[in-house]
Amino acid sequence: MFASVVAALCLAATTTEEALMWASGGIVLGWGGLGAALLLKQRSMWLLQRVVIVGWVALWPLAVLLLFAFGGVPTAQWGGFYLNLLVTAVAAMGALPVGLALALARRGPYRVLRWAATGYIEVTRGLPLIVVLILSWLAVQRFLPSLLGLNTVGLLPRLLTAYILFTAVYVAVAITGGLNGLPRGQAEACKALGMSGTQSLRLVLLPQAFRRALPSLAGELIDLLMSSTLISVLGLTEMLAAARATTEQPAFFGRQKEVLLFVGLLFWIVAFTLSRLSRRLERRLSGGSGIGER
Amino acid sequence: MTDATPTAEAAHPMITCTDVHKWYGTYHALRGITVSIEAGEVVVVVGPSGSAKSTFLRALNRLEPHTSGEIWIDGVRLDAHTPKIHRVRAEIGMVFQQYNLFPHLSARDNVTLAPRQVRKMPAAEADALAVSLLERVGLGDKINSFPSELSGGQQQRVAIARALAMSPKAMLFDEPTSALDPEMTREVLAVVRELAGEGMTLVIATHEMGFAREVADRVLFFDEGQIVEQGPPAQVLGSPREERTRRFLAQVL
Ligand SMILES: Nc1ncnc2c1ncn2[C@@H]1O[C@H](COP(=O)(O)OP(=O)(O)OP(=O)(O)O)[C@@H](O)[C@H]1O
Ligand SMILES: [Mg+2]
Repeated sequence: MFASVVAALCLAATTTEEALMWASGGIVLGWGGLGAALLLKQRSMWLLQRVVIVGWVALWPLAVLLLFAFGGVPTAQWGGFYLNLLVTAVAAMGALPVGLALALARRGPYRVLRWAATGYIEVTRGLPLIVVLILSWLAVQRFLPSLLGLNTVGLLPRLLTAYILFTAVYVAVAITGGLNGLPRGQAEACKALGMSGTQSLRLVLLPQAFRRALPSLAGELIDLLMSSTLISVLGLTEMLAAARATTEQPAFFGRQKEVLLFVGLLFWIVAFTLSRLSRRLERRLSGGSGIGER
Repeated sequence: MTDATPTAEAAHPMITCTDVHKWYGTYHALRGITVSIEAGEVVVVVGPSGSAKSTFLRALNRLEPHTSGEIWIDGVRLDAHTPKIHRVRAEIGMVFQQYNLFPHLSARDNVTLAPRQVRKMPAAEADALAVSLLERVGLGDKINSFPSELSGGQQQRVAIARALAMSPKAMLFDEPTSALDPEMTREVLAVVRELAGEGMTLVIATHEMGFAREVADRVLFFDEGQIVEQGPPAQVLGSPREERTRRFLAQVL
């Protein structure tokens, strides 16, 4: 929750646009909600899972809607650390369900889906993020069907989509790892009790797999924050780019070190907060359950 | 379709196997098992390690699909076409050597999960059921404990309560005490003994010969995927006819 507060402060400080406030509010709420739900007691599991799943599903289009629909602010004008946090939060939020879907498709009963998911994961894993970002910028411009107006989609939404699709692969790998790490007896116990495949995944296998995947998921989140600086390559003024621009102004000549130090500190604070939070979450989730204990 | 619907008259045995074979790839694990188990019967399966006792039990709820032959559970034939195999499984409890409790759930939730999800039992009813079952296995004070907070014997008793919560028609025990020390073994066997006394159909693989002698109506001696000898415990364990049985008993006793 601490992180949400920090994030909210950062967001409030970097933008005055009302619409942006709403969008960021939604995102922070989404994350806060997820965190709170996960920290809840075990007893309320059924409710919890429903809340989390419905929450994710509902918040995602909401966030998109807010991003796309607010009046007047061209995305090219967004800037600063807010942009880094926005990219990180939106990509993480989107990558979770997409990654989960990929992981499930890959181990599911449908051969076509299995192949598609595996192919997508293997191909994307071999690409550097920057290539995917440039692709979303260049190629997509040309090839997206104009009839849907998709080729007019702004740069930022396209980049966010690229981040999501890229990160989803690593989420899928983490979840797959978590699932594969479970003892065979867990799935067998579910079967022996007469549970369907979906029931055992939802109630027994995935909750445990998520716990096991949490450390790598947290690592991905921090990676994501760091790689959010890459959008500067495509002309958006995120924090690092802003810093560089700043040091080029006469008033800041000779002060590169201080500016960069400040930027570094900012990233470090957020990354550190995230990693502490994930540690807390891990410990909380393994509390009394014997999973993920070292 | 008649295969899938239990016949109305109670004339059929609870479990019937006819010439059941199981191949693991090129390994011939079950080699023609023919046996029939009546409702209320307590059958104990003994035999050397690797004789396919587990494979046999796991074939009975299709955790391991058999390769050929017929298996009928309470009038339902198990094969690749069995519609809704999980409905058959819901009627057969299974207790594993390694307990396989759900580590992220409390004892109570381990017990209530399947009744609520599979049987659609209301939460309050499932809760009351969990309380009474956990009390029955002597764990009334551990309802809110997680598996990691329980001893092996306690975990195995929760696992038995979990299986009982589905009100199964038969229960399969695959070496339920092999991972336990003598004290905990006693606790668990006491629970199994009680089930046997209540008329539950039980198929138990175990290395506990004393226990087999005591609870079994019939003992099956397995060797190399076949039933070498079967009969009342006093006969199979006391005065075996087969040389292989004698050799096995000489080793374990
Ligand atoms: N999944 C599998 N794949 C291949 N071979 C298997 C598999 N499971 C069991 N087997 C083989 O089948 C044979 C019977 O195994 P099973 O586990 O049924 O024996 P068991 O009588 O239960 O032995 P134990 O007393 O040690 O539990 C063994 O030789 C084993 O190696
Ligand atoms: Mg075995």
